[in-house]
Amino acid sequence: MQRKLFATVSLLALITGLSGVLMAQTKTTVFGTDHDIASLGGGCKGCHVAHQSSAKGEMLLWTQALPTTATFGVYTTPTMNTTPTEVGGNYSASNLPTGAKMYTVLCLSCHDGITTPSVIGAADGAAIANPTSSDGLKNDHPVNLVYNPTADAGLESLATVQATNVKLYTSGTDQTMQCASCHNVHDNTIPKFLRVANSNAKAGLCGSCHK
Amino acid sequence: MNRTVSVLPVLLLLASAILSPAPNQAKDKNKKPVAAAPADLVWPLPPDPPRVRYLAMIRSADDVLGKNGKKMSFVERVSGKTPIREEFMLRKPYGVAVDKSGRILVADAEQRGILILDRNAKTVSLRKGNGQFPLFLPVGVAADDDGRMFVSDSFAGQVVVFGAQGTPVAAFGKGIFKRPGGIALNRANGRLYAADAKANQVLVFDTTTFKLVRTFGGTSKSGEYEAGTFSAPTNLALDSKGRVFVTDTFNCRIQVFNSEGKFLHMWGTPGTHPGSFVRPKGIAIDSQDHVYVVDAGFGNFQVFTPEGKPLMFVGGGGDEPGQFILPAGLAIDREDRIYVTEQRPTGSRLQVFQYLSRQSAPPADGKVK
Ligand code: HEC
Ligand code: HEC
Ligand code: HEC
Ligand code: HEC
Repeated sequence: MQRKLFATVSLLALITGLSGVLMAQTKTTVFGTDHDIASLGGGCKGCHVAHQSSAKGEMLLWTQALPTTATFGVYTTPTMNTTPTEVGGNYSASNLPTGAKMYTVLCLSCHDGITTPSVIGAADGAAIANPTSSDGLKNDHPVNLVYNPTADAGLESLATVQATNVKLYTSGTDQTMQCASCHNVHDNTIPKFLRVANSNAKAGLCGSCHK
Repeated sequence: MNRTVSVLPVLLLLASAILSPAPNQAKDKNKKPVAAAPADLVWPLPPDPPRVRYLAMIRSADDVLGKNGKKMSFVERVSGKTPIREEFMLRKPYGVAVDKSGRILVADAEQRGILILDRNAKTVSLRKGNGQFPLFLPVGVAADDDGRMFVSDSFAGQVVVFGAQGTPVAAFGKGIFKRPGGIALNRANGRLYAADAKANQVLVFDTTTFKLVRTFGGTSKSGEYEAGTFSAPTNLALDSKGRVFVTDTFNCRIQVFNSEGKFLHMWGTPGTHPGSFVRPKGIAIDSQDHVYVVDAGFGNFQVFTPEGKPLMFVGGGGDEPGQFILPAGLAIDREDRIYVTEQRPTGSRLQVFQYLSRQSAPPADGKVK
């Protein structure tokens, strides 16, 4: 279990596999933003972890049974595949929140309260709150839950939501809400990486999903 | 007013201490250790001698109570009680510390307070701020020998001091901190060390006058990875000599300073092989000065010599005992028990391990006999 190791794939190989259009588009909108963290390699690498497949592991003095070529699985690896579900898909075993749910885990790995401003409520369906916004802790929203208009009549139909710029993520047979439903970290055209501008209008962010 | 929400009887990790761990049976190496009873979980696997043993997992009231016909928890099985209510539920835990009397203190940002798990008095309570000294985003916690508790608030940008009576009595650092995170106390020089992830420095305060003594670190000007500078330092720990070990999170390394802030050495790079990091966070040091570091990217903690030689690791992303999702805080108590908090989307947890110093007495240099 602890020694479940994953093959590593070099970031470069993956990048070359990406669509040129998306690359060009994201390049201009990730670089220079808060997520362009130089010490993590800059640009995409803060989230799509670069593997140093050339780097040699050291002998673990207490774990001599382990080969020095061992590497750890990361929720963000091998990642950078063109299907969104692959970001984090390899984090670990099958009983885990894989795929779409890992997007939120990725965000929370930095937005944990210390590393970067917190978004509270890591729990499934729990309210998130952003104390750094002017609304203080009142400004919160549940994440990591199934978008289910049948259970809540106040929600727009799936088709209506999917016609907006807001994004729902497939997890198994469900359409789920993640941080990335409202934020597109690859595009900061609308401040705070919002997919739809936040306003009270029906065409605003909230009205995309709420009737 | 001190808003202690509930003081309820419970037998906590005492349970794990009572249960004498079963001897480490020689296991088939390919067999998943998770299938075994928790007391059998050790790292590393044979044939390497075991160094760390799994002890317990604390998750939520449900877990402890065994509500709705769920499997009874470890604690309940031992205590035979169903003592805890809703309030005892880890929501967004980060910092963890163990005070002089063995109480476990967990900073929970979502509950805006410190959960206190008292093994001796068998109580669980939530300590909150008050009107004068509110807590918004408590993330770091430390306790001194006089019964005082120090809590860093990354949103309010200050450290709140709780007196021995459990009420907030003072706060300091306002206007000096940008975003305080992990804190640690040096009992010998009476100083509190605080990592500031936004200011890229460590701040040192006097715990009597609450005055700033010095700062060290800073943002790199000449380029990346410059020794002694930080990129989001989030957590820190002190060893027996008072040296300061800082998790330099976005530089994916650990930096070591003497108690005056003089840079000594460092280790770690971004990467996925043992000894490197993706999202290093909580850090703690055991009685033999081994350095433990959790990584929220790998979902594990790695153990190093004080010089930074990797010794072993525990975990890997997952839900089983001994696996982690978004591990954040790390603490080691005087009995060498290891506490790891997890900000897990499907329910936060606190996992407890034992460093097997007495059983196997591995030397601090990590050399295997
Ligand atoms: C802040 C974190 C973050 C950064 C920085 C980031 N990404 Fe992503 N990326 C994600 C997440 C999360 C997803 C999956 C969710 C989504 O956005 O659709 C993703 C998905 C992708 C996808 C698949 C999208 C699709 O719809 O198929 C591509 C391609 C991609 N990223 C490229 C890049 C490139 C190129 C960069 C740098 C210019 C970059 N990313 C920087 C977090 C990030
Ligand atoms: C590698 C670390 C990292 C990851 C992963 C990450 N962020 Fe961030 N994010 C940051 C940092 C650093 C900032 C700047 C915060 C500061 O220090 O003030 C930031 C800022 C932001 C902001 C505010 C931007 C602004 O202009 O004010 C938003 C919104 C955000 N992140 C969303 C996300 C989302 C959504 C994800 C997941 C897809 C994510 N982040 C993942 C590090 C990260
Ligand atoms: C329902 C939509 C929605 C979801 C889901 C959501 N956010 Fe946001 N987020 C917003 C809006 C709207 C803002 C802008 C608030 C403002 O302008 O003050 C925001 C702001 C932020 C900021 C910047 C705060 C600041 O003051 O600079 C961060 C960081 C952030 N979100 C991270 C996250 C993370 C991480 C998640 C997932 C855990 C998440 N968000 C999920 C809508 C959302
Ligand atoms: C991507 C779709 C989506 C968007 C965009 C969205 N919401 Fe929601 N919202 C939901 C879903 C799904 C729920 C959960 C409903 C349920 O459980 O019945 C929800 C629940 C809520 C709740 C109830 C929260 C609780 O804890 O019970 C509030 C309040 C709310 N949303 C406000 C907002 C606001 C304000 C915005 C704009 C910033 C917004 N929502 C944007 C999908 C969305």
